[in-house]
Amino acid sequence: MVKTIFDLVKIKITGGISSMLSFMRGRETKKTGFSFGTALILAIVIIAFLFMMVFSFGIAMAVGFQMAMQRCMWLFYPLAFIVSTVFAFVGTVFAAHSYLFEAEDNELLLSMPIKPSAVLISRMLSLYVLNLVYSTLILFPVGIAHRLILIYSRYSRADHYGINNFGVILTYLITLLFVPALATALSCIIGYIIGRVSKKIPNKGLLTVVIGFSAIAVLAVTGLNLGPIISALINYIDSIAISVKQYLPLLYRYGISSHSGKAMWGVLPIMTLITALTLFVYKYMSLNFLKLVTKRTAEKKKKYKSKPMQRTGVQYALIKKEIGYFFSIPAYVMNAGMSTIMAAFLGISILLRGDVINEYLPVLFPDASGSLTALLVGSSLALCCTLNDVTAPSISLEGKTLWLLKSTPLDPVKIFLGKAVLSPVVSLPGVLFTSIAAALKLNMGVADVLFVIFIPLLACLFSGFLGVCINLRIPRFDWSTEITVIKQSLSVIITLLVSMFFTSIPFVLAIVPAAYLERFSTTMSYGICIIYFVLIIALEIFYLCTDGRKIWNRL
Amino acid sequence: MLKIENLTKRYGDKIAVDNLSLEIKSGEIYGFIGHNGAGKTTTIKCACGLIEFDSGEIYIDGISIKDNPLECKRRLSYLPDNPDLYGFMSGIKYLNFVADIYGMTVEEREKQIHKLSDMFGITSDLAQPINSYSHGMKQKLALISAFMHKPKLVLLDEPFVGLDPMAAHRMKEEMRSACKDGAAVFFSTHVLEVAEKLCDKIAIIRDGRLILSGSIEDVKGAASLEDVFLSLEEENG
Repeated sequence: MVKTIFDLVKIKITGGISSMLSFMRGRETKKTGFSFGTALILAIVIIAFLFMMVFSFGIAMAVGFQMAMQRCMWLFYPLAFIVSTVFAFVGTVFAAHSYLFEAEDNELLLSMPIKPSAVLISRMLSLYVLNLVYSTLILFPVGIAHRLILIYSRYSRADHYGINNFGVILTYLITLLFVPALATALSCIIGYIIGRVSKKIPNKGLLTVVIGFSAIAVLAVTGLNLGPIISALINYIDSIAISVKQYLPLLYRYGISSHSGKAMWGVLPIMTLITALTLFVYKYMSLNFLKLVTKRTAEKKKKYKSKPMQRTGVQYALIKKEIGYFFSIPAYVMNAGMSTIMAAFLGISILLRGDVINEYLPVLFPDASGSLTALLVGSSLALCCTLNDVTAPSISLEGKTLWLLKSTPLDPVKIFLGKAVLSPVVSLPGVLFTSIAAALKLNMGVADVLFVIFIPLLACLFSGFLGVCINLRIPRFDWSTEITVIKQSLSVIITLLVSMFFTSIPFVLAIVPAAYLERFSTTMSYGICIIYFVLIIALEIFYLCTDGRKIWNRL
Repeated sequence: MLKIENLTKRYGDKIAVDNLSLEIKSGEIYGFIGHNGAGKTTTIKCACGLIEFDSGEIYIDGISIKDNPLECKRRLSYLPDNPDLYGFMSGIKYLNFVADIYGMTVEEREKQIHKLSDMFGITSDLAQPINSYSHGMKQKLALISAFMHKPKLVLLDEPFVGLDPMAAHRMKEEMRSACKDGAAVFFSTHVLEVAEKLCDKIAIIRDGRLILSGSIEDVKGAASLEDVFLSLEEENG
């Protein structure tokens, strides 16, 4: 059984990695192991990992030195324990349900002579490995910070057995192993609850989108307030230490053991609790695993009632189809909808702080000509809209249904247009909201407001067509779940980067002279932006009408 | 209605279809038989303009699919061996989408959709999302969409897979009815009994090459189609 579990975990992990790398490579026909796409994405992933580690290290050093000065260095690891658990939990909680209960090979494995409990253990272990990666991103730099603080801080050595003390190293290793275990147990509990609840909810997609956006909002608010949170942590570290000592004795004992290596037994209670929780979660889920994996809830059947049918034009039918597809995949909505959320944040900021912008902008740019405000708002909105990568996976998403569009009498350009238009459609609510906020709160004329509305929409159309162009070059039709092309494909990443770069060019060309040159009129700035976008959109359309059409016929 | 002249299609070094020629006239039901990987699907995909081919020509109603693919596609409908449809749409929305693409009038689509969905017994399920359909129901929906705009040429790849006996019977009826109205039906199958009873003509393909074609009587003579097919396989194997 152990070998089976080990094999299943290996299949899950290697399968996940090879699928990810394969999607990064772009075309499925490419045989080379290491292409430009792989290199680009690996570079982005490594940079993101390094950034996260350096960031964690910086915070750990700042908070750690304060703890050392306050002589409560024992609180260092308990805090790291909590933060890394939360980080890993947030990273895996949304994947937990599909990892555990919706794996494609569930039915295949359950038809083989493998115990369902072994399948469940393998799923939990795979989730554990994922949590291990997430928690190490925090615990690894934290471990280094701890050692450095011990070496350089005279305050922290008093209660310590020695830097290379066996107890410290052992408790650190135990922490590395048990944090992901706790995060796994918590993710499994939430994944299980989501599984149970979602079976009873009619509109699961909407629920997923609402929960997803709420989580993003919480993370965004936390991220924006990270500075004040860390300051409060540093300023009130002594009070926090007293409270932990008083009300959370297990954490206190763990802290003493992990920091000093003294009283190793202090680690045991918290580790026993985690082990017990994990075993309980496993046992409870294994009782219902088979039922959860195989149960199909009978949804209430909608009876068809004959209604008068309507005829619509081909282009409208294609756009409607794209919109329908978009709203049917929660991950797609959440990914592309980020632009709308960002635009809405901008609108809210304008509503709340519009007066400050009106007051300080003329002070900051005394030579500015005309309405610099509209240029700044328009460019910010346009950049938000480039986050809308809705069309970048749209050709790949045709997947096994590609035959439908290819075998019908449709001009490929109409198909491309139907896909590209989705981009401004998705961004429109955020753009309109922010434009109205800007019109109400900022000193802008009619032309300025029109600029703020239309420039982001032009930018959206540009990124929409760009996504189609790039996805035509590097499509992937061999996906098993839509999320792989929506989140992991090379086309999406290239579209985001290229779209941001090209969208920022006209604003640099228009804002800089408008801000510093008195003679540079607003009309000139607006003209530059509009002509630029019209030209690059025309180029994209030309490409789609010529090469795009040929590539489509070859797909 | 469908004329294939010296069609050759390669996938890398492998020749999937090798110098194949066929002609299917209006009013004919033409069966296409061959072992797995013989080149049936590739031929059908080339004929409906899904994939480009290396050499040869394909004419639909006298129009070259290479030169004017859109005009050809207006005249044909295609059903793949495993018809994946837009799962997020309901059955009725999907049929209306197809009707929009083919520019069907409201009266035409109402009449055809109701007639065909009643015939295949899925009218009551049309409001359901396609994701909730069984394989057979998806196949029926795809068949309705293939026949509803009254194409001149119907290209079907393994159309009987997944259909219950009643639906298979209804489909055969619909194929005959379409041919009576002047259309041509070209379909691949492994069910030799069906081909024997349903088809006017038959073509047998092996390793991309056409090894036998003609009217059903000419091909099988006094023997059964199964015997002919198996003996040909042995001869060429």
